[in-house]
Amino acid sequence: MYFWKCWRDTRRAFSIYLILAVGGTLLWFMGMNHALQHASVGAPPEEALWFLVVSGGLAFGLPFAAVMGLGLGSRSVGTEVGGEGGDFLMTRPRSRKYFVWVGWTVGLAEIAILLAVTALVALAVLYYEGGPIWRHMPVATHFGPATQASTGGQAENISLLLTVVDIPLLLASVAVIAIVVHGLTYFMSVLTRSGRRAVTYSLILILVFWTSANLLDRWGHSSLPNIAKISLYRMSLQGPPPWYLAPQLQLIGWVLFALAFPVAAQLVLERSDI
Amino acid sequence: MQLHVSPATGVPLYLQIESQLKHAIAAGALKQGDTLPSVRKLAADLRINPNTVARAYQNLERDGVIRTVPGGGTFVANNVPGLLKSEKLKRLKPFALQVAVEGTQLRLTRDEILKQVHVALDELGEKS
Amino acid sequence: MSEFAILTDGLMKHYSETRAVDGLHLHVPRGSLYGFLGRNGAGKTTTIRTLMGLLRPTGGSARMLDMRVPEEQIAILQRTAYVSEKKALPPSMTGEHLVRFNRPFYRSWSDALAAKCAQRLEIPMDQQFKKLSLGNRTKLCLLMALAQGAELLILDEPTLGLDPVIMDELLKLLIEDYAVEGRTVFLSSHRLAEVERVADWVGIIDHGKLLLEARLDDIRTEYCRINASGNALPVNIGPQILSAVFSGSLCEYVVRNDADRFVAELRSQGATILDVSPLNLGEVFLLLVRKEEPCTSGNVGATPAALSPST
Repeated sequence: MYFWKCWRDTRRAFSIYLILAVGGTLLWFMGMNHALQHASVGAPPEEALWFLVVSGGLAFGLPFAAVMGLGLGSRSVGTEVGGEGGDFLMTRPRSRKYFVWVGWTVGLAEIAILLAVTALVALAVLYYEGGPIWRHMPVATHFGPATQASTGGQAENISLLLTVVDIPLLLASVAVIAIVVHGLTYFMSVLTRSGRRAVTYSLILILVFWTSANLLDRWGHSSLPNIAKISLYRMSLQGPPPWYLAPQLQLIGWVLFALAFPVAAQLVLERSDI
Repeated sequence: MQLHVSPATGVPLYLQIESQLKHAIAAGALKQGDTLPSVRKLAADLRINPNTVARAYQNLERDGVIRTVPGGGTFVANNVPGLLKSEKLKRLKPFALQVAVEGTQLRLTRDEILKQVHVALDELGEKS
Repeated sequence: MSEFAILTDGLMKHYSETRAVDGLHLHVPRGSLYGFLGRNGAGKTTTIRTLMGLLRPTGGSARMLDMRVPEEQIAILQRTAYVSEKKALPPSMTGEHLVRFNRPFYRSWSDALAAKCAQRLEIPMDQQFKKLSLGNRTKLCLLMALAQGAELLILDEPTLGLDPVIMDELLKLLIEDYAVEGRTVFLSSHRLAEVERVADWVGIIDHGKLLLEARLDDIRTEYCRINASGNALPVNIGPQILSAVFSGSLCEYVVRNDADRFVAELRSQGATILDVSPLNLGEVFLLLVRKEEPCTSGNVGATPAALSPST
């Protein structure tokens, strides 16, 4: 079946990304723990620590998510048609819509699995390490040994916010970047019928968008919606940006935007000659 | 016996099969009551279309040369057609004309032409 | 149920520079083995790809197994097997993978037939497609199509890279499992000798239109070569005389229909008939297709050297 074939085609790339993601995350947290344990300064305040964790996560996670999106989105029924095996696939008794959506869904499932596995592995390692990050972890302060950071009252409120809002937002931003870039690259691969061209054009578009967003932020009076900034909204020293919507709504907006890509790919494929 | 067909000659394949089978029966290679291969088998063996074989068999059956039993089996008929003598002669006439035309074109004498017919009959007789 | 497996009505596929298919009226009877012939660029592959839903027609209509192309394409594909002119399958999959991949799509799939094909055609089923030679690629494509057990089999140049032994096995398979079962086979090939053996219907396409569509047996009985000598031999090419090649007082005619009457006419004018013989498919093909091209030689119609037996 076609699901199986899509998995077969992307499993090597998926495995590499999985190893990189898990490995990178582990290195980051274990490195952080190590650095904190040997720091000459006393235990940092909780918020500052988590600012470090979040921005570190973004610095590594967001570009990685983009690369993963590019990689997983670069194979599709479009690339089959552009290469070998297109005639064979397109003469199986399934609609072109089916091929587009199955391919896209498999990519999406791989992204979800990768993020879930990475998050779980990171959590497990942090727990077993029991280092300063885990001790200061907002959830752990309620279950773990008491630390000097828990001052009750205000601190409890902050930790709740971190648990319920910031960390999920971080994970969601990474996921959304992956989904959006995957969708874009997938659409490009159907349009151009080439993995190489898909990655190239997508990369160009992403860089153009990212550059414009940053330029506008710095010198313009408006700014473009930017996934990278969503989970940093509370940390931003400049206050909420002009386009500010609740971050959850922004992320939903991006996901809907991402869904437009397979729809567009379907329309393109249905209307073209093989 | 082995049948063979030559598609490249331009002669319809069903005619080739018919004439080969008739030839074989006339020469005694196939006797009354002998089984013929099924349409399926002959078509597959010769690598030709089954409709071609079917047509040949149909024609031969119409002419009374072979008969098919419903439920299976095609056999050489028990007596070469129960036709009237006049019918039989009428059947032979075009072939006789062909021999006559050919012989005349080649500027052979009547005796030479008739001699060829005798020779052919002798050869057929030897085979049976 | 329609008597036709494939029926097109003025089918057209135009590109900006060319009219690949230009008003095609195909009638492929159910249960027939139909040889679809034409020169390169005549429109054979474009026709087939349009019927298979890979290209969208510019005009006209087509029906396969009594279903409309392309509106009912998926239902058509369920019951139609296809070998493309590009012998291409997913490169990293082996024969076994491909069988596993293809099987669930079709209710009529037969593992027994797949095994028979693999054995008879000598296909290595455990090598990746990209590592196979052209001949083996063709064979694997054939297996994918034949084992599907479809009512209609469409083959575009299915003999690419096949050696004579495998070609013979292929013909045998086509006869045993297709022609005999009453399924329809639509075969496009340059190998006229093989087509002439197994086909019962023939369609010749040229510049996107049908030049001829008839039973093969009818073609054999209709077309006739007549060698005559005389002083007052007719020169004009009428609808009945397709070609007349003169050398001195001899002429070789190719006549369509009523050869007997023509011969009688010639005789009545005092000509001597030297030979009357049938043409094979290759000769008819060359004659009809060359007729469409401008005459360059001094002879009227096809030159005798061109009418060589098909190999």
